[in-house]
Amino acid sequence: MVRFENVEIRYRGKEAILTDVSFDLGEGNFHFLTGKSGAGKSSLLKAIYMGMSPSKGRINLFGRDISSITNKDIPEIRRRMGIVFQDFRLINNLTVRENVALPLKIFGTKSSIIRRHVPELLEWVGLGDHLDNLPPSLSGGQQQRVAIARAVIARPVLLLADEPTGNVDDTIADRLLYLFKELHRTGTNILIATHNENLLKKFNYPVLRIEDRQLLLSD
Amino acid sequence: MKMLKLAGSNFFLGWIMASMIYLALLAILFSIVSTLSFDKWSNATRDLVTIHVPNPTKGTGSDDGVTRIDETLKILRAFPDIESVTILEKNDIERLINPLIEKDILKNILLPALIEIRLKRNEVLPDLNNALKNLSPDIFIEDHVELFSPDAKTFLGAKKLFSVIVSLTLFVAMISVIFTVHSGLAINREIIHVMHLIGAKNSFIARTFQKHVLKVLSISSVFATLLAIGTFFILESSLRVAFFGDVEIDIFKQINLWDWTIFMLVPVSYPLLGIIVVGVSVLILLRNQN
Repeated sequence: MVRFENVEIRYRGKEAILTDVSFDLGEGNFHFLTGKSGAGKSSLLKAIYMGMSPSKGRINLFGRDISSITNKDIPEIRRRMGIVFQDFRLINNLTVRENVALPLKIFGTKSSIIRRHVPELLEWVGLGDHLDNLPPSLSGGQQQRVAIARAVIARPVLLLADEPTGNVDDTIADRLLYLFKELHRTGTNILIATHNENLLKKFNYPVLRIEDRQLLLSD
Repeated sequence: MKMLKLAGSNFFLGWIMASMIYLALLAILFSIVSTLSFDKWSNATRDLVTIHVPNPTKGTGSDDGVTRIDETLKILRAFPDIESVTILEKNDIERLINPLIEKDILKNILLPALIEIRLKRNEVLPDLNNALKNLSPDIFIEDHVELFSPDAKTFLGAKKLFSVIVSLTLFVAMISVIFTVHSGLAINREIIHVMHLIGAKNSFIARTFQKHVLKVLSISSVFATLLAIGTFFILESSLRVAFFGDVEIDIFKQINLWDWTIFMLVPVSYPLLGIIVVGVSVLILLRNQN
């Protein structure tokens, strides 16, 4: 599903963040991605969702080499992913309900389905009372849950989450992880970037660890 | 779902479009009215000529005391393709000449006789002219179509001007739409980026813009149309005689379905063209950004 071969990631004119990264996430995986702050976790996720191109090496997504993917094909690839951004990237002039409904709208889902599913999911992440609120009126943790709901609403094949529990308390964090587990059980592949060591211990999934610009796989 | 921030540009675009549609509608209305006036004037003057007979009471030289006017009328009666003959009264002639000559001079000159005739067909005019010239070389025919040809040229010029005004309004309207799209894309760059990351195609973003713009243009269009119709009702009495002087037209009776269709094309076509331009502009600008 996601395969990196000797990938180097660097921003223009800067030193490489990651070098010689190789890994293969096949079907049915749930991985944590960890490393110190600034180690390159977000950049690695960015490379997966084609937010940036590798300076060296090859990335293969859903069986396609990304260097062969045209701009026209990118939306179709991204529709198979759900992304939880570290800074949430919610649309501030849309309500919580509308933000979460956005992927379904973009994919052309029927309004009746959207009307049914969105409140259900928001109820599940504990935001049933905030359907018509605008994101700026919510706390950081609530915004994070909206971002997670938006990422998972369309049942993506691959979920990329960048510090999804960074702004929530342990109870909510556990709840969100159970949501991810449930999604994984129903076929979604998951890669969560986190520096929360407690989470790694609590949920016993394989860990990709970034150390000294290298990626190490540990159980 | 108002996902894009376009309030500022909506306000700008709304007023520009309303102004342009209003101007275009007035130009079209004036064009329709001037065409109606021209048609009426053209029908009234078609095949109409005036014969000038100087010294009408002067004898022709024969012994039976026949005057030049009698002889002229005799020729006219003998002509088969003349529909009607009207000898203008002295008062009418004076009224016609009055603007050209001072009153004192008018009293002291011998006025020509003016005979207005309507021909069944204009082709006989050269034969009629020859017949009258044979009677006397100073008798001449004035064709009304030629007489008022400067007016006709002015009319054609005005019609072109109205077309230019409509074209200009359309141009300004569409440039404003492109400007709105350009600024809209810049203002909403972050939102569009998020939409792209979620998997939105450029066509989805273009449709989102189109929905916003269609709403603004529709409101502007309705507003401008009502304003133009209101203006037209206020100016209607002046417009009846605005073109070709004394040719008065009954505008509401004479405007036909085709005229109304052309009129209604503006408030319908501007928004439609607008959303096409929006769609194309968004696609081109986003493609260039990628």
